[in-house]
Amino acid sequence: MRIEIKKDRCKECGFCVASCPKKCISFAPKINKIGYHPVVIDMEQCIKCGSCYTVCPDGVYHFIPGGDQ
Amino acid sequence: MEKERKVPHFVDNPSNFCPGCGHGIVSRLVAECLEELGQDRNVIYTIGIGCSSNMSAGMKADRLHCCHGRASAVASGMKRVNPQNVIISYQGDGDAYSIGMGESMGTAYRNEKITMITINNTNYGMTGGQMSATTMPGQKTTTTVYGRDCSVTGNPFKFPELVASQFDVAYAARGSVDSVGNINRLKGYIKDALEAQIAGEGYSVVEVLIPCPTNWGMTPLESLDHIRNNIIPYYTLGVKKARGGKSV
Repeated sequence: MRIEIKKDRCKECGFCVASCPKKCISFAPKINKIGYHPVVIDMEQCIKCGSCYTVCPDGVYHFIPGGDQ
Repeated sequence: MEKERKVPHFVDNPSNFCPGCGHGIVSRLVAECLEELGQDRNVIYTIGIGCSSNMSAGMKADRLHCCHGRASAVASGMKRVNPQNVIISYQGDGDAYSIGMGESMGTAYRNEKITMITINNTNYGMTGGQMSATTMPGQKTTTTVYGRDCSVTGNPFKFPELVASQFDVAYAARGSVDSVGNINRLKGYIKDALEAQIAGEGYSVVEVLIPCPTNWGMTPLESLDHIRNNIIPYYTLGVKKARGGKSV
């Protein structure tokens, strides 16, 4: 499973950060095109549960079958 | 087998909602249900005035922006003329319950075969956070600066409970987007509501409690806590009328 992050959609609401069971999502230091700090995932910790996709109001996450990361 | 998780094609665009607004989650869930039911190219939305109007910007589906409060009435006409289409009336609480109370009640009263998705953020979000029909008792808004006094303003309006107990509707439920579990439950309610329409059972409504961090003066995460601790105890979640005519 590979996770594509559409970082320019992220508005830094933090819903995914709060709901991640492994606490492996954080905010990047550099801002995106719309002026927010977008999310980054620590792929070593991620279990691909999809909680971040479920709570995201802005369609940032796309879980793509196949591939490692 | 690995399952792809992707925002459905017709709502897969950047949105104009505030950070932490729940509208994006609800519009995605509705789109997912339509896709799973094979109706994603057979749907017409009627959209109300308010923050719900922003949904139109990121959506590529047939839709009509209706006069303020009249989306349910327009949806009734659409369904009578095009009974083969799935018609969804997507409105906020100010649109559906304040200015549009007459149309919303009339549509439920006639048991029109449409689905109404009402987004309840307990204030008029787009116009700056004024008191709405669903503002909580004691809640401070820009027009109730000392907190809502129900002895003057009347009590908050519980639409799903009202239509479930008084009218002959097919399905009524209330969900929330405050947690992963509640979002998954909400998706089940929306799917049931759409299936009730497709089966021709009658009027279905799902009210959704969403955060409005901008007008509540909270961070997005604080606003989720506010829903959990203060709003859900008042606006209880769950199915208010199940399919098959059972009041819950």
